[in-house]
Amino acid sequence: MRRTVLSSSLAIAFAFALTFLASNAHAESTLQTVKARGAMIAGVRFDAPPYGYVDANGQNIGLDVEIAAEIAKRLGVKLELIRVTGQSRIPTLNSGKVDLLVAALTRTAEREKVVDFTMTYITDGSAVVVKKGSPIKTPSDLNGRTVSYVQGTTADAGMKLLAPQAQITKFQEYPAAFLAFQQGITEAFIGQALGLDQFLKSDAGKYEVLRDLVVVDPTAIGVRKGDTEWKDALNEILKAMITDGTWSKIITKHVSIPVETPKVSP
Amino acid sequence: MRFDWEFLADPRLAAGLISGLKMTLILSVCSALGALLIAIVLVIARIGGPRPLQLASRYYTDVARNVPVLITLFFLYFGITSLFPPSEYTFLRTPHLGAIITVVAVSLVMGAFVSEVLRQGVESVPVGQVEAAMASGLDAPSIYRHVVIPQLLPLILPGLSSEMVNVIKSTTFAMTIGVADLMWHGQNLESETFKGVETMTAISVVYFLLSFCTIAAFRGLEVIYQLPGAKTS
Repeated sequence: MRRTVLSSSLAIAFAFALTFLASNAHAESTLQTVKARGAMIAGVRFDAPPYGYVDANGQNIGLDVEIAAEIAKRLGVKLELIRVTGQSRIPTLNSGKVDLLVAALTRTAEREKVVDFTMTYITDGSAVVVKKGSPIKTPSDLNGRTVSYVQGTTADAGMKLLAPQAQITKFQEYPAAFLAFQQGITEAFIGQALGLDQFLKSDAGKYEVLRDLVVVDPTAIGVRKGDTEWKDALNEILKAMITDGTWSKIITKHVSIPVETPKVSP
Repeated sequence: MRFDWEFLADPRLAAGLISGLKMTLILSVCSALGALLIAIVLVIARIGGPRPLQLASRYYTDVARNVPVLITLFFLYFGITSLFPPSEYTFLRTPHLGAIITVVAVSLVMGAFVSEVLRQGVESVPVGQVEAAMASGLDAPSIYRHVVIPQLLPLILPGLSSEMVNVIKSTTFAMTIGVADLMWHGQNLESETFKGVETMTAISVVYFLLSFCTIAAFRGLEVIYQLPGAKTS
């Protein structure tokens, strides 16, 4: 009896020690891993224009993809892309499958508990789209009305504050959410302000975008918690890109509305 | 990646599971009843109807069993609203549209599967039984009540229990059209708390218990309705 209790408690202690070792193994700097590997693996969206989407030939393009390509160029390594969705991006980063997330990732307090963020590289927001002539003029008018958006986006937090009585239908991806709004199942649609072009260009005169945003989304690159050397390296590259004009070139290529340049602290 | 056991006591998890379970139960029970109804209609048409009705029933069963439930669901949800836009047909403007369409879609598809189970049972009851009952002077309702149904039930109950579990699993597609069922709440919790593994484990356990109870209930029915002298395994 005594021998089994001792050996099983030793086994449990050993298992705990192993898990501590395993979690410490992730704390080595990603910067060194990337340089040694000669390639940077970036998690990008494929379903979120203008950040990351797929063109007619199946190529992954978008402003996030170009930012990732520029970062890889400045580090002197190759770029590899892994496609992520809004739901899967953070688990994919934390499991080590990607080195960084350039995936329309908004910095929020909840997310800061599980990942680290670089500086904000673009300020987006969740904007409300309604049919022209709709009585909805501000996000708080959404109370008691039907609205559709994508599950897992930052619009949730904003809606809880501005329109807690709204009847929300949350879909798995933007096309379904927008289709529901287009067909009249819902009266409003909430999407990323910078990415509304592709939805509105089909019937430009039928929709209007409310001026007040539901929530402002400071978008930043995501790295694993504690990966400070990698985060600082990325911040340096982002600052250089903003000061030498590369950032503006990339952004104006993908976004038609004016976007304010992120402030770079000297 | 360590499993966060403390998360299982989180009230958000319990609230999401209960809310989702309520919706899944409603969807499953309504879809099962709908499927049973459609199956009975299909079997009656297949066996007792005129030739064109027989063919129609056969083709419907073949087609409905081949189209994935998700496609039927999307087709109905986005198709109905493009033919009858809710902005003009205001009766479609209900928050329960997704749930109703899920029940309709799952009933239509699973009805075909259940009709095959029923048809197997009906064709396995020997014709001689009905003939002998008629020769004994029983009228039609009594024939069904005392001769056909008691022999039919033990034949179809095992098949019905697996189709019922399939109905429960088919209702999970409702999350793609925004219906707040168990699966949807799982996704929601995962996006709010980033604890995917723990959430999905909890959801799987609930689905497993749901299926387990369904199968147990059907086994109980099998025991109740078993024919005297027959042994159910």
